Amino acid sequence: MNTFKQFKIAFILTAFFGCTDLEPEVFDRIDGDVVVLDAADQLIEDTTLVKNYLSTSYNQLYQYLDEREIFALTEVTTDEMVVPTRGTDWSDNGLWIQLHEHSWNPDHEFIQSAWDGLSRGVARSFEVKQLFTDFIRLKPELTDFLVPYNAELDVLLAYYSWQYIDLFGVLPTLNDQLSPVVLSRSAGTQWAIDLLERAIVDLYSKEELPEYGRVVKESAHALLAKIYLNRFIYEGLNAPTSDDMSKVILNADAVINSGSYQLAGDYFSMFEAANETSPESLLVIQNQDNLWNYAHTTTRNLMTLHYNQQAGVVNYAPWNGMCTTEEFFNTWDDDQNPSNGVTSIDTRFNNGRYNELFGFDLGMLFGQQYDPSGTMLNDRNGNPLSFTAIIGNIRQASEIEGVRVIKWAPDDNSPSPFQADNDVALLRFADVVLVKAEALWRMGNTEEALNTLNELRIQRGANPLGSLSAEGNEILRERGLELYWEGHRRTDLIRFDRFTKGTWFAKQVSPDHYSIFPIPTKALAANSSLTQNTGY
Amino acid sequence: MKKYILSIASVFFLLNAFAQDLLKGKVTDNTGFGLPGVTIIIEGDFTDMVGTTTDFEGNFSIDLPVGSKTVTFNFIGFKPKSFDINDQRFFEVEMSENISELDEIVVIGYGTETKSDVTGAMSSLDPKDFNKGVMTNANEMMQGKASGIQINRSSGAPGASSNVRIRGISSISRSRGPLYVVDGVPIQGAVGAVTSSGIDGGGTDNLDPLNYINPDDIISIDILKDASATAIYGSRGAAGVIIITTKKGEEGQNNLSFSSYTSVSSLRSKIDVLGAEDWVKARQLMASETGDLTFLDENFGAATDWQNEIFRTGVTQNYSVSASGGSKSSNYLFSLSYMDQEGVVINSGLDRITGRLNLRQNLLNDILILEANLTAANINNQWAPVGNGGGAGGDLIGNALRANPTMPVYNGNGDFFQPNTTTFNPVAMANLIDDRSQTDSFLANVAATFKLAKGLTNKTNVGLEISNTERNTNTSQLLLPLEAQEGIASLANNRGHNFLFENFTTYSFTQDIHDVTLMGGYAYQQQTSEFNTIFARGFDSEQILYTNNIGLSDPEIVRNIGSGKQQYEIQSFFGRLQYQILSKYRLTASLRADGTSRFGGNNKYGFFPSAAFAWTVSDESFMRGIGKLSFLNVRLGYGQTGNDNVPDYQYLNLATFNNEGGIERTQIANPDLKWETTIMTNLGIDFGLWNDRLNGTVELFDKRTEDMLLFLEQPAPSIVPQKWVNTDAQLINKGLELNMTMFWIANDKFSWSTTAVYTSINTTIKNLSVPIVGGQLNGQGLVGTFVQRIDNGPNLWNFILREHEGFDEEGISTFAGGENQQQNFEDQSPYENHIIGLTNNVTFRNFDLQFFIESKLGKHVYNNTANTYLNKGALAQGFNTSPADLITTRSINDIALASTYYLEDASFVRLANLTLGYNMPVSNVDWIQNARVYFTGQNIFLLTDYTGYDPDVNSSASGEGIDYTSYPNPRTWLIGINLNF
Repeated sequence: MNTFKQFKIAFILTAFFGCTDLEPEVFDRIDGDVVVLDAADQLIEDTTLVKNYLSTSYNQLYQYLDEREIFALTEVTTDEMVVPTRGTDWSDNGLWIQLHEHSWNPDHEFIQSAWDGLSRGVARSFEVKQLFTDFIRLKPELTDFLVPYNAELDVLLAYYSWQYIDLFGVLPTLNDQLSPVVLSRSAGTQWAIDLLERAIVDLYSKEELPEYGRVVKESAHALLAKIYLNRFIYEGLNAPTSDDMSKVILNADAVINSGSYQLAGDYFSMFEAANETSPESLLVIQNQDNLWNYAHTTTRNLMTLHYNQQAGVVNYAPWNGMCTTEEFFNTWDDDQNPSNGVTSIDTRFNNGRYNELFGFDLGMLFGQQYDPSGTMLNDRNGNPLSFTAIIGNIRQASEIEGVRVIKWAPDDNSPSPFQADNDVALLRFADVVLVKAEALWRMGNTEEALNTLNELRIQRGANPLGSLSAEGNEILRERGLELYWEGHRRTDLIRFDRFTKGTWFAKQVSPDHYSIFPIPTKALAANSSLTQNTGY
Repeated sequence: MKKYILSIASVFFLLNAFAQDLLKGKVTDNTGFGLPGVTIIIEGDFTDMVGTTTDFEGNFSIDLPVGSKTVTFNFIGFKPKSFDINDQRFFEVEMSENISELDEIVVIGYGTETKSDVTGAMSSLDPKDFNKGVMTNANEMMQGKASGIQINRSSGAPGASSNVRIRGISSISRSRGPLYVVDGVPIQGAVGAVTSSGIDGGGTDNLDPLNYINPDDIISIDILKDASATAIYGSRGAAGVIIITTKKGEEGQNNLSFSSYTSVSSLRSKIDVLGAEDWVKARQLMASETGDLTFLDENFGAATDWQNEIFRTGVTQNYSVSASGGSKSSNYLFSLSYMDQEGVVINSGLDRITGRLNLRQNLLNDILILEANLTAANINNQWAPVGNGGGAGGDLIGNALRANPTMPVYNGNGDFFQPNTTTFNPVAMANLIDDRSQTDSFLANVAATFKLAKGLTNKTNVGLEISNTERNTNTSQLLLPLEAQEGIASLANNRGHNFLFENFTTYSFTQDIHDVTLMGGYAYQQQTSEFNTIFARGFDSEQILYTNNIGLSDPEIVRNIGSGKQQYEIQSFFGRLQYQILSKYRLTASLRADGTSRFGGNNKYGFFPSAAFAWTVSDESFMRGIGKLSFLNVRLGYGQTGNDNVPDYQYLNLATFNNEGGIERTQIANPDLKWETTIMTNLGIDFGLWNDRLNGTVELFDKRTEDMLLFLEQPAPSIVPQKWVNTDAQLINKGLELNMTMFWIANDKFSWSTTAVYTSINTTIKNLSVPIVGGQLNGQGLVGTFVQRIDNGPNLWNFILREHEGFDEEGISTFAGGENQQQNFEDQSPYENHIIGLTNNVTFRNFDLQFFIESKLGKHVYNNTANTYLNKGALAQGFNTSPADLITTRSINDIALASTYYLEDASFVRLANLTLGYNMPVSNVDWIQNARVYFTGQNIFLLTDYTGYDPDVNSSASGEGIDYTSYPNPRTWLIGINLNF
C-alpha cells in the first residue's frame, strides 16, 4: 500500500504543473480585433488620422511601379516596350520574350505577381472599408464624418477592380458578407461603375480637398470615363454604344470643366523629382526621398539605361534592359520617313535639360550617348555606346541595340538609389483629354475630336493634325506619344484591335485569346468559382 | 544473448593467515592469451577506490581490504565480468569479446533500455561509430553511419548546417529537420541561423544548431526512426528524433584525458575553366570568326587562376581536455575545448570555445539523485561572401569561376585591380566584405530523481537553452561595383530562449515471468525567439569598421531597421507501458497528448498513440540448435506523430501599422488549422548468425503524412495571397533499411569487421490539389526560373525542364517541342535511390584502421553554377567559360536557358574517411593509461560524373538538388593524439 501512496504523490506532482492555456503573448504585432476600438477612440480625438487609415489602400498603388508586375503586363506585351536578351542578361527563363511574343501561359511568374498584387489591392481596400464600418459600429458619431473618406476608398477599390477586369477579364471581389465572390467581366464592370457613381456623390471635389495626391471627385470622373470608353471590349462588343460614349464625354467634361486641372506647360516637368505641382495628376503614386522603396522611379531609370550610364547622382550601374521597338520609335518621325532619321519637334520626344547632370536626354535615347562631361561613352566591349532603333534578334541582342526611354528624370537630390522623389500619375489630365477626343471620334464627331486632339498637340509643341482617319490611327498614335511607358498601351491597342492582330518587332499576329491574361494556375486551383479564360 | 560462458578456475587455494588479503590471478582472452591493461576493481564495505590493472602477461595481484565483496574485470571491447570474492583468492578469468552490441544501453525518450529489448526502429551510435576527423557538430559525425538517415551538408563552410532527413521527407510544408534532444532537453534548433543581408552574394549558409555541443563530449547518439519510438515525442516526432547524450563521469574511474588534432584542408578539385592563354586564344578565334575586333580587348595581360586565389589550405586545430570520475554516490565530468577552423575559402573560418560540467550527486541514502548538465559555448564565424542566392553580381565563387583570367589581382601600387563598376575582382570581394557572426550558447538542465519506493521513481527535469547570435556584415565602398552604395553595414541579432519543465514517474516491477515498466509524465516547453536588424549605408570613412559605429552612416539614406519577437508553447501529457514476458515477448505502448500554441480552440491538442510488439524468436526452445542462427528478433510497430511546424499564433487575427500609421492585417485567423499527422508502420528483423559474428537488422516501413499542412493560395481577393491549411494531400514514404555487421576475425592481435548500412526510400504524393512549384535558379538571366515541382505520383521536387536536343547549325540550343516546352523528368530525381555506407574496422596489435565509404546512387543535381557562369556567351562578354563548353558547337549568342543540358547525374562513391591509429604501449608508464596517435583523411577519393565541386549538395532554399556556387566540401588530412591519464 505504501507504493500506492507514493504513486499518488507522483501523480499530484505531475498534475500540479499542467496549467497553461497555450496562448502566449503576442509581442511584435497587435490583435487585429482589439486595435479597432483604440483606433476609433483616437480618430474622434484627431480626425486627421483618417488619412493614415486610408494609406493601407493607397499603398497598394506601389505595385504599378515594379517592373515585374502589372507594368510588365501592360507595356512589354506592346510595341512600346521590348526586353531583348543580351547575352544571358534579361533571359530570365524566357519570361520577357514570352510577354513580348504573346506566348505566355498560366504559370508565368509576372502574371501571378500581377494577380496577387490586385488581389491585395482589392482586399486591402475592403479591409479599410471594414475598419470604417467597425468605427461606425463602435462610435456612431463618426458616421457622417466618414462618408467622403469611404467614397475615396471606393474609388481606389474601383481602380484595382477595373485592372482585374481589364487584365484578367474577371473580378474576384467580396460580397456584403465579405466572402469571396467572382463577377464576370461584364458584371464586374457594372459593379465598378455603380461603385464610382455612388462615390462621386459623396466625394470632395479638388477645390474642396486641394491636398496633393488625394482621390477627389474628379479622379472618380476620370476613372469612370476610362471604364466607359473600354466597356465595349469588356462586353465583347465590336463597337461602343453611343450611350457609353456620352458617359465618357460627360465624365471627361466634369474633369475638364472643374477648372482644377489643366495641361502642363512643360511636359517633362510632370515626371521630374519635384512633380508635386503637376497640374495633371488625378490619381498618383506618391514617392518621397525619405522613404526607401524598390518600386521607386529609380527602377524606371535603371531598367533601361546601359551599364555604363549613370542613373542619377548615384553611381549605381544600370541594368540595360527595357527599350522601345523600332516601330514605336518611328511613330515620332515628323516626315514619317524614318530612313532619313527620326526627328520630331514634339516636346515629348526628347529633351536635353539634364545633359550636364547625367549626360543623357529625357524621352527617347538614341544614337551616341555621353557622360555628363560630354565625353562619348563606350559599351562594355569598347564599342561606341550608340543606341540603335533596330534590334536584330530579340534573343541575341547586343548591348547597344534598342532605343531607350527615360520618362521620369533621375532625382539628383536622391541620397541613394530607390529613394527617388518622382511621383507617378496613374490617371493624368492629358489622358482625360485624349479619352474625350476618342469618344467624340467614336461617336462620329470627328471635327470636335480633332480639335480636342490638336489642343493637346499644340500644347506639346507638335504640329496640329489636319484630319482624322476612319481607323483612328492618329488617336492611337497620339496616345502613344503622350502616354508612352505609363502603362496604358495594352488597353489602347486592344481598343483599336491592334493588340493581337498588330505586328511589330518580334511580335507576329497572336491568337485573340491573348487579349486577356490567363488566370494563374495557383489562383485557379484556390477558387472553384473561377474558370480559366478561353484559349488557355 | 546475455548468456555467456564464463570459466572460473580456482586451481589452487591456500589458507594463509598472513597473506589472506592478497588476491591474484590472470586474465586471458578466449584463445588463452593474457590480456594486459584490464581494469580490476574491488568493491565492498569501504569507501576508498581499490583497483589495479593487469600486467603485460595478464597477471595481477592486489591487496584486499577488509570487507571486500566483489571483483569486477573491465576491458574495452570485452564484456565486463564480476564475481563474488568469498574465500577465493585466485581468479583465472577468460573474457569474451563484446561482439554483440545488444547489451548496450540505448536511450529512448524518457528512459533507457538495453538494445535487445527495444521494440521500435532505432539506430544507436557511440564514439567508435562516429565519423572521425574535423567534426564541428554531431550531424557531421553521424553522416552515412546509420541506415534510414540522410544527411547532406548544404555547404562545406565551417559550421554550416546539414540537411538531415530521417526516413525521407515527412512534410513538404516547411523544411523540417528531426527533433534534437540533448540530455533530455528538446533544443530549439534554428535560432543560431542569422542570414546576412546586403551582400550581392545572397544569403549565406545557415549555421548548424548543434555547433555548440562539443563533439568530444558526446557519448552516444540514438536515432529514433519509426513512429512507435518517436511517438513518445508526439507532436514533434514526425521527422524523427535524435537523442544526444553527453559523457558522464564513471564510478571508480578518475580520468583525465586530453585530445588534440591538427588538420589541413584543401579543395578536392577545381572546376575546369580556361587559363589566361587559352582564354586569349579563344577570344582571338571569336574575333577572327565574327570580325568583331573588340574580342581582342579586355586582355589585361596577367595570368591569374582565380580559384587558386580564393581557395587556400585551411589549417584546423582542436584541443579538448576533460576530467571525469566518480564514486557510488556522485560523479563529475568537466571538459573544455577549443577549435580553430580555417575554411578552404579565404577569409572564412570558425573558432569555438566550449565548456561543460556534468554532475551527479546522490542524496538521502540514494533516494534522491541530483544531476546537472551545463554547457556553454562561444562560436565565432567568419563568412566569405559565398551565397546560395545571389543576384546578378554573383557571389565569390561565381565570380572566381567567371573572372577574366588575364586580370591581375593587384595593381602595380598594391591596390586591388578593379577594372570597372560591373566586374568583381574576387579577391577584392573576399577582402572588402567583412562578415562575421558571434554565437553565445548556453544549455543547462538540472534533474532530480526521487526513488520513491522499489521500482518507483519520479524525475523532474528543468532545462534552459539560450542562444544569442550577432552577425555583422560590412561591405566596403572600396569594392568598386558596390561603390555606389557608399559602404553597407548590416547588424543582425537573433536570440533564442528555450525553457523546459518535465516531470515523469516510472514504475517497474517483476512478477514471475512478467516484467512491467510504466511511465507517465508531463512536459511544458516555451520557446521565445527574437531578432533585430539594422541596415545602413553611406559611410564617409573606412577608418572605423562600419558596424562598430553604425551611427556614422548617412542619415539621408533610409536605414532599414526591424525587430520581432515570437513565442511558442507546447504542453504535453504522456504515458508508456513496457511489458515483457520471459524477456522474449515484449510489448510497448505509448500515448502522448500535445497541446501547441500554434493552433486555436479545440485543435490545440493532438493525441499520438503507438504500439509495438517484439518477439525474440531465437529464445524459443524450438529454435535451439537450428543451423547457425544465434539470434532472431522480430518487431512490429505502429505509431502516429505530428507536425505543428507552422508560424506561431495561427489562431489569431493579427495586425500591424504601416509607415503612415494605417492598420494592416498581417494574418487572418485560421481557427481550423490542426496537426499534420504522420502514421508509420514498421517491420523490423534483427538477426545474428554464427554466434552473432554476422548480425544485423532489416527494417521495412510505410510512413504516411496526412492532413498535410500546406501554404496554399487563397481565393482572391486576399490580403495575404497564401495561407496555411490542412489539405487532403498525402505524402507516402516506403522504405527498406539494412544494417549489417560482420566480424571476419576477432582476436586480440587481429580483428576485422565490416559494417554496411543501406537505405532505399520511395516517395509518392497523392491528392495534391495544385502542384507546388520550387527549385528557383539563381544568377543573371535566370531570375524567375523555377525548375522543380511537387505533384501527384512519384514527383517530389521533380525536375521540370526543357529537353536539350543539341545545337542547330548556328550554334543555338534546340529543345524538344520548342523553347516553351517543359517536361517532367521523373526518372532523374534529385533524390538518391540507394544510399550505401560501408565501414571497415581493422585492428592489428596496437594499430587500428577504419575506413568509411559512402555512396548515393541515382541522384541528380541541377548545375546552376554551370548554367549561370560557364557558357560561351559569358566568354564573349569578357568573362570565362569551361574548356568543355568551349569545344561545343555552341554559339556565343546562345542563351543559357534552363534545360536538361545542365541536369547531371550526381551519383557518387566516396572514400569519405580513413583513420589509422596506433595505441602506444604505455603499460610501463604508470601515470598514463592510454595514448593513441592517429591519422585521418576525409573526403579522400570521389568517383562521380558530376562536374561541379561536389555532388552531395543542395543550395536551393525552395527545392532539392540544385547546386549554385556551393561552398565546396574540402579534402582534409589530420593528425591527432588522445591521451588518458
